Amino acid sequence: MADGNEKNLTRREFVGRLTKAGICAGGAAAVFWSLYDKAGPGRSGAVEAIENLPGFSVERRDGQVMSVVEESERTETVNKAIELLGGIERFVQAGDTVLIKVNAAFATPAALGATTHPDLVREVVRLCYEKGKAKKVIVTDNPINDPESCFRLTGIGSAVEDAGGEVLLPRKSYFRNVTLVGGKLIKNWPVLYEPLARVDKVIGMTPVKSHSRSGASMTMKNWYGLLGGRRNIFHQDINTIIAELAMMVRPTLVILDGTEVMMTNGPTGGSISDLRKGNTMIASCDQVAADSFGATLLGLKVGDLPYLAKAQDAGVGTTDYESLKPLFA
Amino acid sequence: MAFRSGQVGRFEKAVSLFLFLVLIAIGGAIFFKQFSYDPACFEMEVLRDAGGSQEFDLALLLPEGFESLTAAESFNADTLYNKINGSAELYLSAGFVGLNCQRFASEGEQGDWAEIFVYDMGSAANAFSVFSVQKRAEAAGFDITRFAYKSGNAIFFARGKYYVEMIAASGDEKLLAGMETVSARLVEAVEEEDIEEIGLFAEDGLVDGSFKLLSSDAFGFAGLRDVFTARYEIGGETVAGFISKKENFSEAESVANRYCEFLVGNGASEKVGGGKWRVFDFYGSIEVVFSKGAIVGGVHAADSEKVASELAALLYENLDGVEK
Repeated sequence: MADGNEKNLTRREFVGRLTKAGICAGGAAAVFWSLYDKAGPGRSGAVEAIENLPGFSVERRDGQVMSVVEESERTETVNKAIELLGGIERFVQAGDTVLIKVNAAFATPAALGATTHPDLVREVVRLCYEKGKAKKVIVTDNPINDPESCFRLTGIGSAVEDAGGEVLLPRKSYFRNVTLVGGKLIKNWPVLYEPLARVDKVIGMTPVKSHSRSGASMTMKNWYGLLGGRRNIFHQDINTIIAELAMMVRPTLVILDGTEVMMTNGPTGGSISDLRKGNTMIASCDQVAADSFGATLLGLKVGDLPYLAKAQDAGVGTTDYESLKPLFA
Repeated sequence: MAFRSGQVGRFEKAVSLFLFLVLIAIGGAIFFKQFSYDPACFEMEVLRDAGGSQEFDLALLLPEGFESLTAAESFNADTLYNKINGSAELYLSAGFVGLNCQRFASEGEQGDWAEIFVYDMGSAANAFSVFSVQKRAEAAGFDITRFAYKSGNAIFFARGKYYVEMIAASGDEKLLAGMETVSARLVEAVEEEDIEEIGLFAEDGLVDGSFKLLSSDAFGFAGLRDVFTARYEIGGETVAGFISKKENFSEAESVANRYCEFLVGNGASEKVGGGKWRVFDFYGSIEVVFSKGAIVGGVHAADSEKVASELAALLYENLDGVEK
């Protein structure tokens, strides 16, 4: 039989078949090469770092820089706090795309106070749409734990969806290298940049927590969740990195939730007994002032948190919140 | 039958073309499917690469009526930060080896869930250190093992070389009962280990459950490491005693002397007539320091010299017969 094959297949035919097979194989290889991701995950390649981030602050109004509302119900206190500063309409205009940077760092339940409370998120998203007439409200964070779990288990994800907003989970393609001009640490470092580049306003929202390294975790430290890469190395110079984060991000508004304050075992907590009822909501256009007031809820002074003075020296804001004549209710 | 060129019939060609199209379809399906995946499964793969060891299959500890909510996770010293962020440093400085964790929930009620954290701290003393330093003031007794307490929605204990936390998302009673069952099973799986230094403390006046282990920088002095403290009620006052076991007599004596120098260097004045121990007035509070054999001990921040001396005597005499 073999002899029969050799006799019937001419060289011409063999070469022809070989050529066809080669073309098919080559074509398949070409198709799969075109699908191949040359850059690989996480590499930013030779793209130049962006210098500084866009600013999102609104025009300053003396006498309406910071407000403090002392009550226990979050939806009421946040409404009052924002109203005292001129209402959400001062910060969000019709057609705006708003980014809310929450603290969704851990996949823990809201009751533990380690993350932004979903009730607060739901209410602020609602305000942006109903009163601010925002076109879109995006909520994001680059958490410590798995992002999908964090947004789900904290309740933040469903709160955002309830209010008509959109959760933006971090993806590698959203990060760009950023250099803070004048900074020591944030040099050519991956930052969750793409969402920031597409929005008109940025609001930061976070609870008041103790922190084993920095002393406290409040509005300025909240921006840590915009960093990518092996950001834990910055813990070795925690006060400088927090100050630089506040230099890098100039938000429209920060909301500091002191309804339940994590007094011990921060930033993760773990027991409800780590929390104390603070019954305080702070809204501010000055994140240094907000954090300086927030320190008092932890029983701390401004001097106990060195990053506050560093940020003040860098011109980010003032630790002397009383000079801003905050509005109390 | 001999094969002849040109004898590939239409049927063979049709089959070949069909197979070729199937291959293309498979390739296309893989291409599109790769963008949608269950992050929990992906996470599990990534975390296994993160090098933590799965010493316990925590899912096997779950009682009936409970199920795993998310994939098990494990972390090592390099990746612990990815789970507990700034809290990692406490564990790392206390000898952390690995962390296994798992979320679970009542079957059919995923809103009521809890998470177990099992920290391998390398030794019973290390596990006790992180247990004692984080112990909540409002701890309620939990007699599942010697070092254990409940606090609101959570259970904490140290058993052998493990420090365990179990944290619930809610105060649901069924969930808390499930956590107690898991605790009991973990305790059964791990042998208790004695911590020698705790047994060296005198029992008279000892406040139950007041032991702490300061792994480093005890009382602000870098040379004082691995110091056990306990509170005593003496003469109506609450006062803290401390004990630290060193390698040998020379080291203990050296550490004690250097601590005394540290106190004086920071403004303490030594009182004469201390005898077996040295007594200092440190801006109104009394410090007592001694070494006996391989032990450094004393009293910290007492209000009165009389009570401090009484406690020092209790501690010192209880060390009789301790070798080295």
